[in-house]
Amino acid sequence: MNLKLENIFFAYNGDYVLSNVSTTIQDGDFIALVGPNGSGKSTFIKCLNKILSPQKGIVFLENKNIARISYKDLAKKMAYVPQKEQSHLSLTVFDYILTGRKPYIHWKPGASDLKKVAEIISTFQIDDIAMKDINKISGGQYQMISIARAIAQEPRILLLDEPTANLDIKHQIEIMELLKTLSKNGISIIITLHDINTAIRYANKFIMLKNKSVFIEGGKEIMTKKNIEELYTIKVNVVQQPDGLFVIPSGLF
Amino acid sequence: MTEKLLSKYKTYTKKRLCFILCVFAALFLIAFFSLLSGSINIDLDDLYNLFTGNADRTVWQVILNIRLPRILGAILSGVALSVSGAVIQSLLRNPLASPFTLGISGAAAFGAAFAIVVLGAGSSYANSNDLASITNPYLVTGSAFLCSLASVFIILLLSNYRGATPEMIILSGIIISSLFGAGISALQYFSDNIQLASIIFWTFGDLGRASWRDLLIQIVIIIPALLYFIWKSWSYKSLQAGDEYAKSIGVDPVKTRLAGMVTASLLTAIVVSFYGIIAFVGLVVPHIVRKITGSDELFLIPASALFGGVFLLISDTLARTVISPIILPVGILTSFLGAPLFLFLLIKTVRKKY
Repeated sequence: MNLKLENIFFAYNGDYVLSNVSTTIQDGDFIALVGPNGSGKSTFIKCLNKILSPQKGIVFLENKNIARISYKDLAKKMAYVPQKEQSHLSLTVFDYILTGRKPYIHWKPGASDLKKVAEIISTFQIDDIAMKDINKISGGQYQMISIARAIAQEPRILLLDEPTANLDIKHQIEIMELLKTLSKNGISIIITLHDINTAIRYANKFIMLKNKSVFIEGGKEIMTKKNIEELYTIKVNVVQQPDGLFVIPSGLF
Repeated sequence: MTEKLLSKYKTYTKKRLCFILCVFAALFLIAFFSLLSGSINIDLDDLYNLFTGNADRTVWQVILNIRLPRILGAILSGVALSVSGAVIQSLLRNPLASPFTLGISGAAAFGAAFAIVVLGAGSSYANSNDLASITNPYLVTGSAFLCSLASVFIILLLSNYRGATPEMIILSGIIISSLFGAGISALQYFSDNIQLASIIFWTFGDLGRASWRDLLIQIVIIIPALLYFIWKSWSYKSLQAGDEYAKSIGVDPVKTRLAGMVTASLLTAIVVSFYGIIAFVGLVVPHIVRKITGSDELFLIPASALFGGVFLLISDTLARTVISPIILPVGILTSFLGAPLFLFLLIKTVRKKY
């Protein structure tokens, strides 16, 4: 399932955040969107499934303009994991994950929806918290169930906005390993990440955003000292270790 | 493992359904008790005689023309106000929202008073307990609905404003209430003595005015609206996690919110135009029910509807019997009960932020 962005412009109150962005996302890609704060990473993600509608330009899903696809049909193909949850809901983890079945539910969930959620809970190995209130679980568990909720949509493409922000290193790895498994199962992953080393470790394609546009995109070969220094305007060393590349800021002390 | 989890969840669902059934049963019991209570003593024998056709004419009159319409009016108003409150709270993601606190009731009251006084949709009696009588319910409800829509649009505009906090929306509700309150004062100023008494009495919020014709109109509007809300409950649940997330699971937040708010304001308008302002029911009931059913609108909406019926019926039965033979307007009682809770919720919401 491929996505194509053609000359996307997006502005909040007249201030452009994305300007003339074009790129193509292929089936099975694990894409990391990287770039400094305010480079438009979150806006980019939100333009992909009509959460935001660009002022100019077209997003194509399987060669079809997404502006002409209903929210419901899009929701069956793409799922979104928000950076920050706005809700103060009092729900059990089971009910929370069940929300992801909305595109398939008319007015009440059927037996197949309940079964699907139970299976996901089992796959994610979170049975022990399934009937707990979502306000009584840890930050790491919350992030895990928000991904589980997205999986309940049975998407082909998973959009994630900073899913590892505010998590300790153990939970960061857990979440990223989980995404790796999902990617292996054929789900395309598009993720915004602040941590460039996490991005290098897990993604197979990178889109660097700078000055409201795509600065450079490609595979691991674009993760060079020159590109990264230009992207973040800091000095770095890119070190080749046995288990991959590492970016270390330099000249700080 | 999956089977075990499913059975656990089904038990949890059954518990919530059981609560709804218990409230439903309580509604019948309380309605029955309410039918027997009042300044004129009616016992089970009288009821039996009523069914066999041997009832005394006074008993017949009291039950069929006074108590039964009043009980049904209380249930329907309780259902309408509570379900509107529950839906508005979900749609605006605002725990302080309700038809009364957002000024929708105040706006509807002005619309109804305007229809009664200026458009001639009501008549007045000088020496009756029932001071204001509606002769054209369609005009009164229509006028109340139009004015309540005005307040709904102001609220929706404000909620779209970036950074609009729940407290800010409630403040705008107070402003809307004051504005339409001033409108009612102006109507009172230009009314004659009898009209003035009618408006004042009518704004108290009293369930004693229900006639069978009025009840029929209410049933025709309230029941389909309730079913619509239940049908849409999953969309409301989706909105609770934010508009962006709602879009990502296939819900159009603008359309859903607009249709929900318009329907909720119609329900408020119909209650206000027949009975005046009955404050705080739409705020108190969903809060109590949410503690039991959680935030799942599929259970919250029907449970709030039934619990609202029970709540207003108990309040009205108390209002009728507590200083019998004097009958208090139920609006006064619900305000005494609701105001402290509103204050408590306000403090709790503000505390969460600072």
